[in-house]
Amino acid sequence: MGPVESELRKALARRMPPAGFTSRLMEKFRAEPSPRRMPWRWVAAGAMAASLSLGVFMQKQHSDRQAQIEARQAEAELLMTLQLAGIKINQARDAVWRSGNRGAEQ
Amino acid sequence: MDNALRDPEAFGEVIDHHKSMVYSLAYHFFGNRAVAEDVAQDVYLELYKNLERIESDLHLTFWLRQAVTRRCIDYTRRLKHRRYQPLDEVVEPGVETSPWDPLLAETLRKKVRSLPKKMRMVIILRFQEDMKLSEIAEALDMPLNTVKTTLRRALFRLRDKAPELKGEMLYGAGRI
Repeated sequence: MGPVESELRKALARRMPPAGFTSRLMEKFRAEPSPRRMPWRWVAAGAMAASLSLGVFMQKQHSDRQAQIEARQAEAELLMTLQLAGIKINQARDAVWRSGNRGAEQ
Repeated sequence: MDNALRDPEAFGEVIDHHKSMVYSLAYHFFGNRAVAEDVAQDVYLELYKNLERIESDLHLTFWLRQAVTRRCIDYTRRLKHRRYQPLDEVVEPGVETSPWDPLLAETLRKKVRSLPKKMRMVIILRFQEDMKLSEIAEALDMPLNTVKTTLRRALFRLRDKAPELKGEMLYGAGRI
């Protein structure tokens, strides 16, 4: 160890804080609210609220999906109805056309 | 350890046991008693809020050193625009004094305080706390090689003033 290191060790020796340090600090602690852990009731309430929100969200997702399925079914039914209506119109038109031809022949 | 220390009396003992370490780290860093006391008090308040994290006495010492180190470095940022006056050695009743030449000691402390903050803290942790380089690296969250280089550079800067120091040492020795 060189002279500078040796002198540093002496110069930087620990020193005591000014008198009354601990009592001043303890005064601050008394003024400071003590750290409290989160009570279990709040933890349980939080967990319940979270699971309730999750349930509502899942329910909404489910009902949205159900509505989509129903809309698709209704769309398919409408298309089917329109197709059937088209067929019937064509049949009626053919019948009218055929009866018109028959009248002309007679 | 948490519950045992939560008791005000037990916590008071913890303060008493470590106060010279905590206060001295801050004092040697700033050279100002009021700032050092502020920093030390903030560190103990932080400790009180984090008692559940403390696992053992050894961990407590490590935690305090790390907390005071960080707070000193943070504090320099706050003090950047606010000039503080480092106090010279004024012997106060109840304050321990070094049993050797106070002039030389103060010269060295001034030179330490003129170092950049990380370099200063490495020197203080090494020579006040006698910490190993690996411990300093952990406390300052620095790579070990950086600590080695920083310490070497700091000592080089301090040795650079060696002729002046030698003169003061002789003068001091003659006076005593």
